[in-house]
Amino acid sequence: MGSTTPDFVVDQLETGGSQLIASLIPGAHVIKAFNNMYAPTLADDPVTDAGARILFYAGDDQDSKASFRSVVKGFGFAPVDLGPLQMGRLMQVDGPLTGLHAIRESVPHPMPKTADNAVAPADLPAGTWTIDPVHSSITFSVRHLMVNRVRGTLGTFSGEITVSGQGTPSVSAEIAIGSVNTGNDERDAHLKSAEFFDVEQYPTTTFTPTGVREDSAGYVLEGDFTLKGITKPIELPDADLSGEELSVRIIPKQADEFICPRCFW
Amino acid sequence: MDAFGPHASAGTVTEAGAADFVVLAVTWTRVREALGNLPYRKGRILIDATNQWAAPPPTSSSTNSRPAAAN
Repeated sequence: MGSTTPDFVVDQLETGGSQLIASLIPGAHVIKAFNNMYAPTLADDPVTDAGARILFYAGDDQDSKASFRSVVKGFGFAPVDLGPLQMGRLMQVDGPLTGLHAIRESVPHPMPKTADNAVAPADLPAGTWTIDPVHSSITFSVRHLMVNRVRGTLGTFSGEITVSGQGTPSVSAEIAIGSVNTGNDERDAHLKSAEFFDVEQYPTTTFTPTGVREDSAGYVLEGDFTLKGITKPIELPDADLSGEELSVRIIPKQADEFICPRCFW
Repeated sequence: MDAFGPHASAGTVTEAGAADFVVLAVTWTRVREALGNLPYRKGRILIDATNQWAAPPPTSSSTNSRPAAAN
């Protein structure tokens, strides 16, 4: 391994050094972390007046990453998962995250936290939130014409979340499937047809909540999403329950969850 | 060791190998040697904090200009 640049960087940057390390230590779950931070910053208290210091990490084993996440959260860091180990290359020398010391700003939460940082639905304050269509978006992914994966958005939706005195949320969200937009009119027409979303027979979809939990980014609403009579669990991350309007991004737990033969074929 | 706080202690590579988490923070040129000395343990979580420097970066003036966790 010779040096290739005056910066003394060696030449495995393409594959990612962590993968090389993983190959040297069979049986271990490798997590890339800490290397992108400058030592003095790393030694500082991760809890600052502005919020918690962000700690990037990448790895392939989900259970190991969950353990790691919990440990560094205990240190006071705000962990940010970059995905599979290969993504650790973003943290490598001269990568975009090198020396990026960022703070997750702390905002006062309107809801009380429980000991394990989870929020039971019963902790929700009573109230009604309207889903804010300007700051919310619904994205989806379908395999179109058996060829390529198409990503698109659904532009027209509305709804509100009501929490009764018992703290149980009920959500009524309606999404107009006719508002499908993939940036291609012809394809959109095809997606609206009976072959895909079948807009004529199923003009709207519904979302029914099953719970609420908290993660590092805020509150996550969990619920069942019904499309063409098929119900799948989805999560609505980044829910801000502090104001009158509820701001969410609606993203399926996994893009593939809506790729089901009964839905589209 | 006192400089590292009350919870830190010095130990051997073998002792470190028995821990749930192992943080690899050696210079890149010593990675192979460090991992070679670690006893096999299935399911170990290895935190890779290395940077791929072929040689230690210049010291003194660079303390605040280099990712230094691995040095």
